[in-house]
Amino acid sequence: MSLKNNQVAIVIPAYNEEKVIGRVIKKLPNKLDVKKTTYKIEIIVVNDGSTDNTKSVVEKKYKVHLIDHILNSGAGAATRTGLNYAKKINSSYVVTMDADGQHHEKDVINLIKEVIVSDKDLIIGSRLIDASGMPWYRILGNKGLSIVTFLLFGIFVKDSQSGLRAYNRKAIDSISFHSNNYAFCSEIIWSAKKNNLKISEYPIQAIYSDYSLKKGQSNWGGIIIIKQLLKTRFLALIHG
Amino acid sequence: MTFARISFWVAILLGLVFAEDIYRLLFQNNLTDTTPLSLADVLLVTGVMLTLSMCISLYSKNEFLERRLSDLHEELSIYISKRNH
Repeated sequence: MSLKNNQVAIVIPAYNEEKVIGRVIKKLPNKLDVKKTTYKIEIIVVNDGSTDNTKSVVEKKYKVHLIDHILNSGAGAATRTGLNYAKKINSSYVVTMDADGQHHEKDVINLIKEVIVSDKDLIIGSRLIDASGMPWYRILGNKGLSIVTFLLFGIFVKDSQSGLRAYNRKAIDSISFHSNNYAFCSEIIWSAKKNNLKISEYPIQAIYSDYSLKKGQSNWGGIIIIKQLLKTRFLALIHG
Repeated sequence: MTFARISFWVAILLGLVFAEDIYRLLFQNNLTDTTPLSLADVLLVTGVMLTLSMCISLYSKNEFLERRLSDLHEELSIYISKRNH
């Protein structure tokens, strides 16, 4: 199997993001130069059964690969589809990011550069290394979920729920997860730990607008994540 | 095998090895001095255990089917996107 070694895939799972998805995609570069090598950037948008015009906004205006989920399956399922497609097209590196505009394109580029030059397999863009600008209830919720992740899976990262992550080929090939909702963020970290991957965090600055705060996870959503993580842990105990 | 699974089976092993000591301890503290179980009690406990075991088995099967369905949905979505591209 030959690898297109100079390809980086950016996976954007999207659900009802017609208002911002255009701007998010427009800001992303088509190619990137790192250490005298030019990397082609393939943008993959997974439209997770949106009921608004997300699909038409993406397919009419921008040169991206659109994967359309027939059924709304959740952020985890959409991310998994994007990662598996990136694997199929032999991308060397993959970055996942949110479609709600909370990630700065500068951080996306920095993360790509970091995963290319460093020896890390999975780099998590952490909003909690410098949490200025993040609402206090979000800090509380995210820290709480990081602690739950540590208690259930024995691995601590400051921001276990960040959607901005970079993977190298080794990580793409070895990580597997089954959660369809936002619990996938913690499950990926667990899978990386089980596969002895090198994980690190990279400081990023999240952009909090009224829109992204409305679209993001509520603390009630955190309870659903904990329930899913407990289920995942329980099933792993039974099946190994 | 994960650490939790190893711990679980080690706990079972220790329970078997020290069964006599545990029984002696319970006996000395009059914790075995209870009324005997009736046949109905034994049937009830057996029924509860069987139901619990069936629930876990069905839960696992349901989870497996959910994963298969999710995989199928993913493959289908990628296949259609490639055809349309």
